Amino acid sequence: MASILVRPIITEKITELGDKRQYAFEVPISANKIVVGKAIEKKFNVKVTSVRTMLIKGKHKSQMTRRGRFDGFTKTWKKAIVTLKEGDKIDYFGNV
Amino acid sequence: MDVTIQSLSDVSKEVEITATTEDLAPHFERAYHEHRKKIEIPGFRKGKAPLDMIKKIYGDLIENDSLNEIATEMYRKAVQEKELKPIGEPVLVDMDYKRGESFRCKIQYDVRPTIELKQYKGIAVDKIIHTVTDDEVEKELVRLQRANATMEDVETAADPEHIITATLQDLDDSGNPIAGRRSEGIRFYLADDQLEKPFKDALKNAQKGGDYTVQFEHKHGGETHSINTKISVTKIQKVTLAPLDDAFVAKVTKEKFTAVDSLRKGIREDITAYWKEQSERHVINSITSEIIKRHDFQVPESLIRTVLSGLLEEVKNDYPNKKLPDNFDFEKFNKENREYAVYQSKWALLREELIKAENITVTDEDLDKLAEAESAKIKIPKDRLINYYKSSEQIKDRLTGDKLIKILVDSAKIKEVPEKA
Repeated sequence: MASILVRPIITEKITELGDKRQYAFEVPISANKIVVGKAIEKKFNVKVTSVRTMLIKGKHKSQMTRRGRFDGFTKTWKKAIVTLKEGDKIDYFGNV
Repeated sequence: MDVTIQSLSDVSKEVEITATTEDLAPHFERAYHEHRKKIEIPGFRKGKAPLDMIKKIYGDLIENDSLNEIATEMYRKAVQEKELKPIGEPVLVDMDYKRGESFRCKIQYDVRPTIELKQYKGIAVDKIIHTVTDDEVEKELVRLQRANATMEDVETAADPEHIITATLQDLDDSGNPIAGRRSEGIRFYLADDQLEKPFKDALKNAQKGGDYTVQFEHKHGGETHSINTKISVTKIQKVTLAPLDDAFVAKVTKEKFTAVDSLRKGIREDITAYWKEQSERHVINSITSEIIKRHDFQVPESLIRTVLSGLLEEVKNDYPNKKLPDNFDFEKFNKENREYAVYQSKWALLREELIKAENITVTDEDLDKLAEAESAKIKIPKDRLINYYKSSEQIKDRLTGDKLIKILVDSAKIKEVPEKA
Protein backbone atom coordinates (compact mmCIF):
# COMPACT_ATOMS: atom_id res chain seq x y z
CA MET A 1 0.00 0.00 0.00
CA ALA A 2 2.85 2.37 0.85
CA SER A 3 4.20 2.23 -2.70
CA ILE A 4 0.97 3.82 -3.94
CA LEU A 5 2.22 7.22 -2.78
CA VAL A 6 5.46 7.97 -4.60
CA ARG A 7 6.04 11.49 -3.20
CA PRO A 8 4.01 14.45 -2.01
CA ILE A 9 4.02 17.34 -4.47
CA ILE A 10 4.99 20.46 -2.62
CA THR A 11 4.83 23.56 -4.74
CA GLU A 12 3.51 27.05 -4.18
CA LYS A 13 0.34 26.31 -6.14
CA ILE A 14 -0.38 23.03 -4.35
CA THR A 15 0.41 24.56 -0.93
CA GLU A 16 -2.28 27.14 -1.57
CA LEU A 17 -4.76 24.32 -2.18
CA GLY A 18 -4.10 23.27 1.41
CA ASP A 19 -6.58 25.97 2.47
CA LYS A 20 -9.24 23.92 0.67
CA ARG A 21 -7.96 20.72 2.32
CA GLN A 22 -6.53 19.56 -1.01
CA TYR A 23 -3.16 17.82 -1.28
CA ALA A 24 -1.27 16.41 -4.26
CA PHE A 25 0.83 13.28 -4.64
CA GLU A 26 2.65 11.51 -7.40
CA VAL A 27 1.18 8.03 -7.75
CA PRO A 28 1.96 5.07 -10.07
CA ILE A 29 0.24 5.27 -13.45
CA SER A 30 -1.52 2.01 -12.66
CA ALA A 31 -3.05 3.33 -9.42
CA ASN A 32 -6.77 4.24 -9.48
CA LYS A 33 -8.67 6.77 -7.40
CA ILE A 34 -9.94 4.15 -4.96
CA VAL A 35 -6.53 2.78 -4.02
CA VAL A 36 -5.07 6.29 -3.80
CA GLY A 37 -7.86 7.37 -1.45
CA LYS A 38 -7.39 4.31 0.73
CA ALA A 39 -3.60 4.77 0.82
CA ILE A 40 -3.97 8.38 1.96
CA GLU A 41 -6.51 7.47 4.63
CA LYS A 42 -4.25 4.76 6.00
CA LYS A 43 -0.98 6.71 5.91
CA PHE A 44 -2.20 10.00 7.31
CA ASN A 45 -5.19 8.76 9.33
CA VAL A 46 -7.64 11.11 7.59
CA LYS A 47 -10.92 10.78 5.68
CA VAL A 48 -10.72 11.38 1.92
CA THR A 49 -13.87 12.82 0.30
CA SER A 50 -12.65 12.97 -3.31
CA VAL A 51 -9.70 12.03 -5.46
CA ARG A 52 -8.92 13.56 -8.85
CA THR A 53 -6.18 11.99 -10.91
CA MET A 54 -4.47 13.20 -14.05
CA LEU A 55 -1.72 11.99 -16.33
CA ILE A 56 1.13 14.42 -16.80
CA LYS A 57 2.56 13.68 -20.21
CA GLY A 58 6.34 13.47 -20.53
CA LYS A 59 7.93 16.45 -22.22
CA HIS A 60 10.13 16.34 -25.27
CA LYS A 61 13.72 17.13 -24.37
CA SER A 62 16.74 17.50 -26.61
CA GLN A 63 20.37 18.07 -25.82
CA MET A 64 23.25 19.10 -28.04
CA THR A 65 26.52 17.38 -27.22
CA ARG A 66 29.84 16.83 -28.98
CA ARG A 67 28.53 13.50 -30.16
CA GLY A 68 25.52 15.12 -31.77
CA ARG A 69 21.93 15.80 -30.83
CA PHE A 70 20.14 13.58 -28.34
CA ASP A 71 16.37 13.51 -28.29
CA GLY A 72 14.06 11.98 -25.74
CA PHE A 73 11.11 12.37 -23.44
CA THR A 74 10.76 12.79 -19.71
CA LYS A 75 8.59 10.12 -18.12
CA THR A 76 4.82 10.36 -18.05
CA TRP A 77 3.49 10.26 -14.53
CA LYS A 78 0.25 10.42 -12.63
CA LYS A 79 -0.75 13.17 -10.23
CA ALA A 80 -3.51 12.69 -7.68
CA ILE A 81 -5.21 15.57 -5.88
CA VAL A 82 -7.11 14.44 -2.82
CA THR A 83 -9.69 16.45 -0.90
CA LEU A 84 -10.06 15.67 2.78
CA LYS A 85 -13.07 15.78 5.04
CA GLU A 86 -13.55 19.07 6.85
CA GLY A 87 -11.37 19.26 9.93
CA ASP A 88 -8.72 16.85 8.56
CA LYS A 89 -5.33 17.92 7.34
CA ILE A 90 -1.98 16.49 6.30
CA ASP A 91 1.09 17.90 7.97
CA TYR A 92 4.21 17.11 5.97
CA PHE A 93 6.40 18.94 8.45
CA GLY A 94 4.90 17.39 11.56
CA ASN A 95 8.23 16.72 13.17
CA VAL A 96 9.42 20.34 13.04
CA MET B 1 14.99 34.96 30.78
CA ASP B 2 17.25 34.38 33.73
CA VAL B 3 20.23 36.66 34.35
CA THR B 4 23.10 36.10 36.79
CA ILE B 5 26.06 38.43 37.20
CA GLN B 6 29.48 37.39 38.40
CA SER B 7 32.33 39.73 39.25
CA LEU B 8 35.63 38.75 37.60
CA SER B 9 37.68 41.73 38.82
CA ASP B 10 37.19 45.33 39.92
CA VAL B 11 36.56 46.35 36.34
CA SER B 12 35.31 43.19 34.66
CA LYS B 13 32.05 41.31 35.08
CA GLU B 14 30.38 38.35 33.46
CA VAL B 15 26.67 38.07 32.84
CA GLU B 16 25.14 34.65 32.25
CA ILE B 17 21.84 34.68 30.40
CA THR B 18 19.59 31.63 30.24
CA ALA B 19 16.56 31.74 27.97
CA THR B 20 13.76 29.20 27.55
CA THR B 21 12.35 28.08 24.21
CA GLU B 22 9.38 30.40 24.85
CA ASP B 23 11.80 33.35 25.25
CA LEU B 24 13.53 32.40 22.01
CA ALA B 25 10.40 31.76 19.91
CA PRO B 26 9.67 35.39 18.91
CA HIS B 27 13.36 35.93 18.00
CA PHE B 28 13.41 32.81 15.83
CA GLU B 29 10.11 33.71 14.17
CA ARG B 30 11.57 37.05 13.21
CA ALA B 31 14.70 35.34 11.88
CA TYR B 32 12.62 32.90 9.83
CA HIS B 33 10.60 35.70 8.29
CA GLU B 34 13.79 37.55 7.45
CA HIS B 35 15.42 34.52 5.82
CA ARG B 36 12.23 33.49 4.04
CA LYS B 37 12.53 36.52 1.74
CA LYS B 38 15.85 35.23 0.42
CA ILE B 39 15.25 31.48 0.26
CA GLU B 40 14.52 29.73 -3.03
CA ILE B 41 13.00 26.23 -2.97
CA PRO B 42 12.05 24.37 -6.17
CA GLY B 43 8.29 24.60 -6.72
CA PHE B 44 8.05 28.00 -5.02
CA ARG B 45 8.82 31.50 -6.12
CA LYS B 46 11.60 33.22 -4.17
CA GLY B 47 10.29 34.21 -0.76
CA LYS B 48 7.07 32.20 -1.10
CA ALA B 49 8.13 28.89 0.43
CA PRO B 50 6.03 27.90 3.49
CA LEU B 51 7.63 28.65 6.85
CA ASP B 52 7.19 25.06 8.01
CA MET B 53 9.21 23.86 5.06
CA ILE B 54 11.93 26.43 5.69
CA LYS B 55 12.05 25.35 9.32
CA LYS B 56 12.41 21.71 8.29
CA ILE B 57 15.17 22.34 5.75
CA TYR B 58 17.07 25.32 7.16
CA GLY B 59 15.85 25.43 10.79
CA ASP B 60 19.18 24.52 12.38
CA LEU B 61 21.13 26.95 10.25
CA ILE B 62 18.75 29.87 10.72
CA GLU B 63 18.40 29.38 14.47
CA ASN B 64 22.15 29.07 15.01
CA ASP B 65 22.76 32.04 12.78
CA SER B 66 20.44 34.24 14.80
CA LEU B 67 21.91 33.27 18.18
CA ASN B 68 24.54 36.03 18.15
CA GLU B 69 21.87 38.63 17.54
CA ILE B 70 19.65 37.10 20.22
CA ALA B 71 22.54 37.12 22.71
CA THR B 72 23.17 40.82 21.93
CA GLU B 73 19.49 41.68 22.30
CA MET B 74 19.18 39.77 25.57
CA TYR B 75 22.34 41.42 26.87
CA ARG B 76 20.85 44.86 26.10
CA LYS B 77 17.67 43.88 27.90
CA ALA B 78 19.69 42.63 30.88
CA VAL B 79 21.64 45.93 30.94
CA GLN B 80 18.35 47.86 31.16
CA GLU B 81 16.60 45.58 33.61
CA LYS B 82 19.52 45.08 35.98
CA GLU B 83 20.76 48.65 35.53
CA LEU B 84 24.25 47.49 34.60
CA LYS B 85 26.70 50.20 33.62
CA PRO B 86 29.02 48.66 31.07
CA ILE B 87 31.75 50.54 29.22
CA GLY B 88 33.40 49.54 25.97
CA GLU B 89 32.43 46.62 23.79
CA PRO B 90 31.11 43.49 25.56
CA VAL B 91 32.59 40.14 24.52
CA LEU B 92 30.58 36.96 24.02
CA VAL B 93 32.70 34.26 25.67
CA ASP B 94 30.43 31.22 25.71
CA MET B 95 27.22 30.10 24.05
CA ASP B 96 25.30 26.85 24.34
CA TYR B 97 22.14 25.90 22.44
CA LYS B 98 20.53 22.68 21.30
CA ARG B 99 17.47 22.97 19.08
CA GLY B 100 14.29 22.82 21.10
CA GLU B 101 16.09 23.25 24.40
CA SER B 102 17.08 26.27 26.46
CA PHE B 103 19.75 28.77 25.39
CA ARG B 104 22.62 29.88 27.58
CA CYS B 105 25.31 32.47 26.91
CA LYS B 106 28.04 34.22 28.86
CA ILE B 107 29.04 37.78 28.08
CA GLN B 108 31.93 39.61 29.67
CA TYR B 109 31.77 43.35 30.01
CA ASP B 110 33.85 46.03 31.65
CA VAL B 111 32.73 48.59 34.18
CA ARG B 112 34.23 51.90 35.17
CA PRO B 113 36.77 51.45 37.97
CA THR B 114 36.14 53.16 41.27
CA ILE B 115 38.64 55.99 41.40
CA GLU B 116 39.46 57.67 44.65
CA LEU B 117 40.89 61.03 43.70
CA LYS B 118 44.23 61.93 45.27
CA GLN B 119 45.78 65.40 45.35
CA TYR B 120 45.76 66.71 41.80
CA LYS B 121 46.31 70.40 42.37
CA GLY B 122 49.56 72.16 43.16
CA ILE B 123 51.70 69.70 41.23
CA ALA B 124 55.30 70.84 40.90
CA VAL B 125 56.57 70.83 37.33
CA ASP B 126 59.48 72.31 35.43
CA LYS B 127 58.78 74.63 32.54
CA ILE B 128 61.62 74.47 30.08
CA ILE B 129 62.53 77.83 28.66
CA HIS B 130 64.19 77.85 25.30
CA THR B 131 66.08 80.99 24.39
CA VAL B 132 66.15 81.51 20.66
CA THR B 133 69.71 82.05 19.43
CA ASP B 134 70.94 84.11 16.48
CA ASP B 135 72.21 80.86 14.99
CA GLU B 136 68.68 79.38 14.85
CA VAL B 137 67.40 82.53 13.11
CA GLU B 138 70.27 82.46 10.61
CA LYS B 139 69.68 78.75 9.86
CA GLU B 140 66.05 79.51 9.08
CA LEU B 141 67.14 82.32 6.77
CA VAL B 142 69.54 79.98 4.95
CA ARG B 143 66.72 77.43 4.62
CA LEU B 144 64.65 80.12 2.89
CA GLN B 145 67.60 81.02 0.63
CA ARG B 146 68.11 77.34 -0.29
CA ALA B 147 64.45 76.93 -1.12
CA ASN B 148 64.86 79.75 -3.65
CA ALA B 149 68.33 78.83 -4.86
CA THR B 150 69.42 78.54 -8.52
CA MET B 151 71.20 75.47 -9.96
CA GLU B 152 74.04 75.22 -12.44
CA ASP B 153 75.52 72.02 -13.91
CA VAL B 154 79.23 71.59 -13.05
CA GLU B 155 81.86 68.85 -13.23
CA THR B 156 83.16 68.88 -9.63
CA ALA B 157 81.53 69.24 -6.20
CA ALA B 158 84.08 71.75 -4.91
CA ASP B 159 82.19 72.66 -1.70
CA PRO B 160 79.10 71.45 0.24
CA GLU B 161 76.74 73.73 -1.71
CA HIS B 162 76.35 71.09 -4.44
CA ILE B 163 73.65 68.55 -5.29
CA ILE B 164 74.92 65.22 -6.59
CA THR B 165 72.66 62.91 -8.58
CA ALA B 166 73.89 59.33 -8.62
CA THR B 167 73.13 55.65 -9.19
CA LEU B 168 73.51 53.50 -6.09
CA GLN B 169 74.48 49.84 -6.29
CA ASP B 170 74.60 47.79 -3.08
CA LEU B 171 77.64 45.52 -2.76
CA ASP B 172 78.18 42.26 -0.88
CA ASP B 173 81.09 41.62 1.52
CA SER B 174 83.38 40.73 -1.42
CA GLY B 175 82.52 43.97 -3.19
CA ASN B 176 80.35 42.33 -5.86
CA PRO B 177 77.07 43.99 -6.86
CA ILE B 178 73.89 42.50 -5.37
CA ALA B 179 71.24 41.84 -8.03
CA GLY B 180 68.08 43.93 -7.69
CA ARG B 181 69.64 46.39 -5.24
CA ARG B 182 70.26 49.25 -7.63
CA SER B 183 68.61 52.67 -7.38
CA GLU B 184 68.89 55.40 -9.98
CA GLY B 185 68.50 59.17 -9.69
CA ILE B 186 69.30 59.43 -5.98
CA ARG B 187 70.08 63.01 -4.97
CA PHE B 188 72.52 64.05 -2.25
CA TYR B 189 72.69 67.64 -1.05
CA LEU B 190 76.12 67.85 0.52
CA ALA B 191 75.17 70.76 2.80
CA ASP B 192 72.19 68.87 4.23
CA ASP B 193 72.59 68.32 7.99
CA GLN B 194 70.65 65.06 7.70
CA LEU B 195 73.10 63.50 5.23
CA GLU B 196 75.26 60.82 6.88
CA LYS B 197 78.92 61.84 7.33
CA PRO B 198 80.38 58.86 5.39
CA PHE B 199 78.40 60.00 2.31
CA LYS B 200 79.62 63.58 2.77
CA ASP B 201 83.22 62.38 3.08
CA ALA B 202 83.01 60.06 0.08
CA LEU B 203 81.42 62.68 -2.18
CA LYS B 204 83.70 65.56 -1.17
CA ASN B 205 85.27 66.91 -4.40
CA ALA B 206 83.36 64.24 -6.38
CA GLN B 207 83.67 64.32 -10.17
CA LYS B 208 80.89 63.81 -12.68
CA GLY B 209 81.17 60.21 -14.00
CA GLY B 210 83.25 59.14 -10.98
CA ASP B 211 82.60 56.03 -8.83
CA TYR B 212 82.84 56.17 -5.03
CA THR B 213 82.31 53.47 -2.40
CA VAL B 214 80.71 54.01 1.00
CA GLN B 215 80.95 51.43 3.76
CA PHE B 216 79.70 52.02 7.31
CA GLU B 217 77.35 50.85 10.05
CA HIS B 218 74.10 52.81 9.94
CA LYS B 219 72.24 53.09 13.27
CA HIS B 220 68.54 53.80 13.01
CA GLY B 221 65.81 53.41 15.64
CA GLY B 222 67.93 51.11 17.82
CA GLU B 223 68.82 48.89 14.87
CA THR B 224 72.11 48.72 12.99
CA HIS B 225 72.41 48.11 9.24
CA SER B 226 75.58 47.57 7.27
CA ILE B 227 75.83 49.93 4.31
CA ASN B 228 78.18 48.97 1.52
CA THR B 229 77.31 50.74 -1.70
CA LYS B 230 78.90 52.06 -4.88
CA ILE B 231 77.90 55.58 -5.88
CA SER B 232 78.20 56.39 -9.59
CA VAL B 233 77.86 60.15 -10.04
CA THR B 234 75.72 61.07 -13.06
CA LYS B 235 75.18 64.79 -12.47
CA ILE B 236 76.52 67.57 -10.26
CA GLN B 237 74.73 70.88 -9.72
CA LYS B 238 76.14 73.89 -7.97
CA VAL B 239 73.63 75.49 -5.63
CA THR B 240 73.75 79.28 -5.62
CA LEU B 241 71.75 80.59 -2.70
CA ALA B 242 69.34 83.42 -3.36
CA PRO B 243 70.92 86.71 -2.25
CA LEU B 244 69.68 87.83 1.12
CA ASP B 245 68.42 91.34 0.41
CA ASP B 246 65.23 93.33 0.86
CA ALA B 247 63.89 92.36 -2.59
CA PHE B 248 64.30 88.67 -1.75
CA VAL B 249 62.55 89.17 1.61
CA ALA B 250 59.63 90.96 -0.02
CA LYS B 251 59.30 88.17 -2.63
CA VAL B 252 59.39 85.15 -0.31
CA THR B 253 57.13 86.71 2.34
CA LYS B 254 54.69 88.09 -0.24
CA GLU B 255 55.33 91.64 1.06
CA LYS B 256 54.64 90.64 4.68
CA PHE B 257 58.18 91.81 5.41
CA THR B 258 60.15 94.22 3.26
CA ALA B 259 63.55 94.29 4.97
CA VAL B 260 65.97 91.60 6.07
CA ASP B 261 66.03 92.82 9.67
CA SER B 262 62.25 92.80 9.96
CA LEU B 263 62.21 89.21 8.57
CA ARG B 264 64.85 88.25 11.14
CA LYS B 265 62.62 89.70 13.85
CA GLY B 266 59.59 87.86 12.44
CA ILE B 267 61.47 84.55 12.31
CA ARG B 268 62.65 85.04 15.87
CA GLU B 269 59.04 85.66 16.99
CA ASP B 270 57.83 82.53 15.15
CA ILE B 271 60.52 80.33 16.68
CA THR B 272 59.83 81.83 20.12
CA ALA B 273 56.10 81.11 19.72
CA TYR B 274 56.89 77.54 18.63
CA TRP B 275 59.07 76.87 21.68
CA LYS B 276 56.53 78.55 23.96
CA GLU B 277 53.87 76.15 22.72
CA GLN B 278 56.24 73.19 23.10
CA SER B 279 57.08 74.27 26.61
CA GLU B 280 53.38 74.65 27.56
CA ARG B 281 52.62 71.24 26.09
CA HIS B 282 55.49 69.80 28.14
CA VAL B 283 54.01 71.35 31.30
CA ILE B 284 50.58 69.83 30.55
CA ASN B 285 52.13 66.43 29.81
CA SER B 286 54.15 66.55 33.03
CA ILE B 287 51.05 67.41 35.06
CA THR B 288 48.91 64.66 33.50
CA SER B 289 51.73 62.12 33.88
CA GLU B 290 52.09 63.00 37.54
CA ILE B 291 48.33 62.73 38.13
CA ILE B 292 48.28 59.33 36.43
CA LYS B 293 51.24 58.23 38.56
CA ARG B 294 49.41 59.23 41.74
CA HIS B 295 46.32 57.16 40.86
CA ASP B 296 46.74 53.42 40.82
CA PHE B 297 43.71 51.61 39.44
CA GLN B 298 42.93 48.80 37.06
CA VAL B 299 42.13 49.87 33.51
CA PRO B 300 39.32 48.01 31.70
CA GLU B 301 40.68 45.94 28.81
CA SER B 302 37.89 47.13 26.51
CA LEU B 303 39.13 50.72 26.84
CA ILE B 304 42.68 49.66 26.02
CA ARG B 305 41.37 47.75 22.99
CA THR B 306 39.48 50.85 21.83
CA VAL B 307 42.63 53.00 22.02
CA LEU B 308 44.67 50.34 20.22
CA SER B 309 42.14 50.03 17.41
CA GLY B 310 42.16 53.83 17.06
CA LEU B 311 45.96 53.71 16.71
CA LEU B 312 45.67 50.93 14.16
CA GLU B 313 43.30 53.05 12.07
CA GLU B 314 45.94 55.80 12.05
CA VAL B 315 48.58 53.29 10.92
CA LYS B 316 46.22 52.07 8.16
CA ASN B 317 46.06 55.59 6.76
CA ASP B 318 49.79 55.41 6.02
CA TYR B 319 49.36 52.42 3.70
CA PRO B 320 48.10 52.49 0.09
CA ASN B 321 44.31 52.11 -0.10
CA LYS B 322 44.28 52.19 3.71
CA LYS B 323 44.93 48.46 3.72
CA LEU B 324 47.44 46.82 6.04
CA PRO B 325 49.92 44.40 4.44
CA ASP B 326 49.07 40.70 4.70
CA ASN B 327 52.06 40.04 6.94
CA PHE B 328 51.21 42.86 9.38
CA ASP B 329 52.04 41.63 12.89
CA PHE B 330 49.02 42.65 15.01
CA GLU B 331 50.38 40.96 18.09
CA LYS B 332 53.64 42.92 17.91
CA PHE B 333 51.74 46.14 17.22
CA ASN B 334 49.48 45.65 20.26
CA LYS B 335 52.45 44.72 22.45
CA GLU B 336 54.49 47.76 21.40
CA ASN B 337 51.62 50.21 21.86
CA ARG B 338 50.00 48.74 24.94
CA GLU B 339 51.83 50.98 27.39
CA TYR B 340 50.69 54.07 25.52
CA ALA B 341 47.12 52.73 25.28
CA VAL B 342 47.03 52.08 29.04
CA TYR B 343 48.31 55.63 29.64
CA GLN B 344 45.65 57.14 27.37
CA SER B 345 42.86 55.01 28.89
CA LYS B 346 43.91 55.95 32.41
CA TRP B 347 43.92 59.63 31.55
CA ALA B 348 40.51 59.37 29.86
CA LEU B 349 39.02 57.87 33.05
CA LEU B 350 40.80 60.30 35.35
CA ARG B 351 39.85 63.25 33.19
CA GLU B 352 36.16 62.40 33.55
CA GLU B 353 36.51 62.02 37.31
CA LEU B 354 38.33 65.35 37.58
CA ILE B 355 35.72 67.14 35.46
CA LYS B 356 33.06 65.74 37.77
CA ALA B 357 35.01 66.71 40.89
CA GLU B 358 35.55 70.25 39.62
CA ASN B 359 31.94 70.45 38.46
CA ILE B 360 33.04 71.75 35.07
CA THR B 361 30.25 72.48 32.61
CA VAL B 362 30.08 74.25 29.27
CA THR B 363 28.09 77.47 29.38
CA ASP B 364 26.48 79.37 26.53
CA GLU B 365 29.12 82.02 27.15
CA ASP B 366 31.89 79.49 26.46
CA LEU B 367 30.27 78.46 23.19
CA ASP B 368 29.77 82.10 22.27
CA LYS B 369 33.44 82.90 22.89
CA LEU B 370 34.61 79.92 20.86
CA ALA B 371 32.22 80.74 18.00
CA GLU B 372 33.45 84.30 17.91
CA ALA B 373 37.09 83.24 17.70
CA GLU B 374 36.46 80.50 15.11
CA SER B 375 34.07 82.61 13.04
CA ALA B 376 36.84 85.12 12.34
CA LYS B 377 39.25 82.31 11.36
CA ILE B 378 37.04 80.13 9.15
CA LYS B 379 34.69 82.85 7.93
CA ILE B 380 31.41 81.13 8.87
CA PRO B 381 28.68 83.21 10.53
CA LYS B 382 28.86 83.05 14.30
CA ASP B 383 25.19 82.05 14.75
CA ARG B 384 25.60 79.02 12.54
CA LEU B 385 28.67 77.96 14.47
CA ILE B 386 26.88 78.33 17.82
CA ASN B 387 24.03 76.12 16.62
CA TYR B 388 26.52 73.50 15.53
CA TYR B 389 28.50 73.71 18.79
CA LYS B 390 25.34 73.32 20.85
CA SER B 391 24.59 70.03 19.15
CA SER B 392 28.17 68.74 19.11
CA GLU B 393 29.18 66.61 22.08
CA GLN B 394 32.74 66.59 20.75
CA ILE B 395 33.03 70.38 21.02
CA LYS B 396 31.56 70.37 24.52
CA ASP B 397 33.99 67.63 25.51
CA ARG B 398 36.90 69.64 24.10
CA LEU B 399 35.82 72.73 26.01
CA THR B 400 35.41 70.92 29.34
CA GLY B 401 38.80 69.30 28.76
CA ASP B 402 40.38 72.70 28.08
CA LYS B 403 38.82 74.12 31.22
CA LEU B 404 40.16 71.25 33.29
CA ILE B 405 43.67 71.68 31.88
CA LYS B 406 43.52 75.39 32.72
CA ILE B 407 42.55 74.62 36.32
CA LEU B 408 45.37 72.09 36.63
CA VAL B 409 47.98 74.39 35.07
CA ASP B 410 46.86 77.44 37.10
CA SER B 411 47.12 75.50 40.33
CA ALA B 412 50.48 73.86 39.47
CA LYS B 413 53.75 75.03 40.99
CA ILE B 414 55.66 75.81 37.83
CA LYS B 415 59.40 76.38 37.96
CA GLU B 416 61.00 77.87 34.92
CA VAL B 417 64.26 76.17 33.98
CA PRO B 418 66.50 76.97 31.05
CA GLU B 419 66.78 74.29 28.40
CA LYS B 420 69.92 72.20 28.61
CA ALA B 421 72.19 72.63 25.65
